[in-house]
Amino acid sequence: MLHAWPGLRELTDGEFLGASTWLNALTRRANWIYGQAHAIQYLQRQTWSWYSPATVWAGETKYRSEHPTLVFSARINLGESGAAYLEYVNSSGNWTTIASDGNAGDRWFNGVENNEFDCSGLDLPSDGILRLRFYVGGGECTLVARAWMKGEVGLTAWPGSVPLFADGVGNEPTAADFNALKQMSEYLYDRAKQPAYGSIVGTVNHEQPDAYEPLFRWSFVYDGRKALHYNLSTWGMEAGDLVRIFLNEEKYPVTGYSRLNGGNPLADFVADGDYSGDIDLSAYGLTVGERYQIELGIYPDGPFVGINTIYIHDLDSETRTHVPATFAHGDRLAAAPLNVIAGSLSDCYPDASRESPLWMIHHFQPHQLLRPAPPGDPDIGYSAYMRGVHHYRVRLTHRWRYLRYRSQGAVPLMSADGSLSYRLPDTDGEASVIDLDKISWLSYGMEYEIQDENENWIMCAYEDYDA
Amino acid sequence: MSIDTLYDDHVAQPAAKVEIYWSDVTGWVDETSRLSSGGLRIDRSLQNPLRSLGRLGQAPIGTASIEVQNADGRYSAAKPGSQANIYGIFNKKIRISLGYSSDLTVAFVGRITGVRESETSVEATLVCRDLGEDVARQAVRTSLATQQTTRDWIETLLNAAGYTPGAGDLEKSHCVIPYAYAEKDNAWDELNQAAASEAGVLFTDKSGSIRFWAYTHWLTESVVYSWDGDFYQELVPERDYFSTYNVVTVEYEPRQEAAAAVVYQLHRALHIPPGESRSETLTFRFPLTEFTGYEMAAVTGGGEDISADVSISPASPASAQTWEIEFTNNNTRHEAFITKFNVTGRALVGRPSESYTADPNSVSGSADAKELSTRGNWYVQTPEQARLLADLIQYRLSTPPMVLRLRGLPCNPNLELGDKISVSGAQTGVNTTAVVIGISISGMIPLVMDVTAVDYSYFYEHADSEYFLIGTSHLSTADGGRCVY
Repeated sequence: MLHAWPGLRELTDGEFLGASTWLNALTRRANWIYGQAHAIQYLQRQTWSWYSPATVWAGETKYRSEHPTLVFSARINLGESGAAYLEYVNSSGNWTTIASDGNAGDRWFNGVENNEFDCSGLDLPSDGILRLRFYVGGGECTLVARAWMKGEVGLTAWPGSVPLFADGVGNEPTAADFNALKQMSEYLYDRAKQPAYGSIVGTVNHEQPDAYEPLFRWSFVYDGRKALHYNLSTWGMEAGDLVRIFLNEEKYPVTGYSRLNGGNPLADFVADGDYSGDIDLSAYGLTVGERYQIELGIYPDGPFVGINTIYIHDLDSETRTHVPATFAHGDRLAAAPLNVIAGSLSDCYPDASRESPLWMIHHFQPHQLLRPAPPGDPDIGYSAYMRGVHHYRVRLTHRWRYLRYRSQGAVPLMSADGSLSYRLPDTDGEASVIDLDKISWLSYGMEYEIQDENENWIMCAYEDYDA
Repeated sequence: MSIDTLYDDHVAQPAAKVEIYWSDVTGWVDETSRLSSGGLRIDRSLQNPLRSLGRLGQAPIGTASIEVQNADGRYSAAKPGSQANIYGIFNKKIRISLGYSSDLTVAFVGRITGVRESETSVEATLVCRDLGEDVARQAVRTSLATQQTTRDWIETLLNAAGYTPGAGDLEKSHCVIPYAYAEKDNAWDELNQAAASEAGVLFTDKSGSIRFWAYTHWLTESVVYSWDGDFYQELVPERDYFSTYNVVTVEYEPRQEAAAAVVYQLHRALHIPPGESRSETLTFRFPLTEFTGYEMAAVTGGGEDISADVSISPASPASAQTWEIEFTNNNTRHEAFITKFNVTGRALVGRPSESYTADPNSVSGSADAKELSTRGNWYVQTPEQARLLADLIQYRLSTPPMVLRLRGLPCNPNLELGDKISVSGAQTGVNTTAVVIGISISGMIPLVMDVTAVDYSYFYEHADSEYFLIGTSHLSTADGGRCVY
């Protein structure tokens, strides 16, 4: 929806202020930004493995010089001769080490809980894709918790002060006041431009008798009174079986991090059925701006759960304090509606104190790893963590125009209900991008998924605002 | 005394001066003594701001014709030894100044575009067009401009046509044009289309400067002259009831960038002899918002790859849809056959047209509706532009626009197109403010002037002083400034 962002010119004193030509364009911007701040937030899949050697996590994104810093967090527990590597694919197509750790014992990778690596000097391929993998040999990985890019190089700054308009003679606003609103909108626009990743979902079970096993962990940033939406099906359940959804601190089960809600699940599903609903996260004392984890697991072996979708979205009861008005020619301009625009933009400033903070987080889209790798080709996504999982999909809502993806074989892009499809061409394991405007049935706001099909599989898919 | 004072007293002796810039050596040469009994005529006009968008954008080039004595063949280019023969006459700059005795002001600057001579008469006629002609004859090519204001795009076009606007000649505009480019398009047409995309006005003033005014220009202008029956010989008010509309639809044409793709492929092999260069103009299938690269393959006559020996310049296209490129074969032995040259980039493509309809009385589709639909200005790409145009045009055309034709006024060279004047007539009952859209000056000294003006009453819905002027107006629902469109 980038094309819905209207142009707006800089004003100078001595000009006449336009309704449709300026104020309404600013209003459209404010509404667009609010929509971005309240966009459906899919969950970033976290991975772990106690098999070795293994690529525990892989992911990619389009590198952008505005966000040059890689944030990466993983917990490892290596043996005496073990080592862990964070690597990227360079312009020659070779895995190249960004950081490595050969220290034995339970510790944060690289000795740092939240690593930050400057990626501005990396020798990236010509397509600008930053593809990472986290490879562990001789040990286990408790959790790969975080992977995103950050930075604000060259982005619009927030104005020194937010204008406060007042009625009456003596309070005449100047062009600088109006231009400050424009600057606020552009600050937020710059930060809204981040790839939209999808939730990796699928059908899962496990084979551990008399044991609860977590099968999915996803992380998300809590940005207000948001609801966790799920849609899943269970089958093969017997008396006493449970499919459970927990809300955890982001780095659970690393020591020092815990389950929330007193350790109790947010939801238990005890019988075969189709389940869909929203869980109000505001009831669990979450802190705005902090990251949390959703965990889905099964007790014990036997049941299956097919996760159709899972994401964070607004509660139905969500309200908006500042709803900008629409202006018409001839309207007498007053302070109140201008302050509403200013308030709407300020509400989206990325700070925990605001009503609708728009966080600047450029996430990596994790690769699908729960799939046996072709023999001798661990590069395209391999993990020893295999638990009878199948029918993997990347679930997305159409928000940006371009889809970046990587596949082995042609794979179907399906509407959420499966009634419409488009075949994504085989990329033979290479990164590719398509213009989603070419898919006539796919409209903005529509939920869709990209599926494996027979031996063809989708490695990675995410939407981007720019090709 | 000022020209205006002299003009008002009806007594001072009018004067005129004609100069031609024959060459940099001669500079301006005074030709006034050669004015003949036929006198001169200047016709300048402005597009009618009360007209609909479909008829906007056609600001004509001002013209002048001057009768001169040519007994010695001074203006006859074919006559050996004449001034015109030595320096040429076509396209020479000409300047007409009018006023009173020594107090003169420029009334026309242009170029001589034609000469009518006569074998039996000692007189000739110099046919001239104003300096807008310099731009009007240009076909311009630009790179693709994104998110430029209308004003800035007009400046881009003018610069592409080799014209540098003076400070303040281009007013601030109201709209932003998402995408704009020119590909060997007539500069004057593009300028007028750009101005019309937000109901602005573009014209050449009497000093030869090209000006752009936003549609709000007149809100801050004052009446400069008040004319009644003592001044003019005739006043003809005309109301055009036929040209009223209560529903106006403006179509806009959104544009967007496409994903990177091949926009040019070589369809024949280019051959370049050893050590030589070859220039080509590559025209892409679409204008580019972003050039992303090219692929080239060059071989010898024997099929050996010598791509590395071929260089190109410039390294990227300078305009949106063409690449004036020079291939150089740096191989000193082999002729290079360029068999492949694929240009890739992100194309600018259209999206389905959309429209906005101004129908304040909700009569569309009923027998009471008289609808006007306008389309075809590709600079109108956003709903903001369409809304401005539809609402403004609907308001202005909702009542019969009145045109005032004043004839036989004493010539006032200070009058400029777009000036606000006050006109009254006892017989017709006219007593209104009007905007000058046409000035015709003709005859011998003293010259007479005919003026065409349009009634200002329906330019804006509210009084000029009520609109919100940034930095000046205050905020209040009771008496704050009003938004323009």
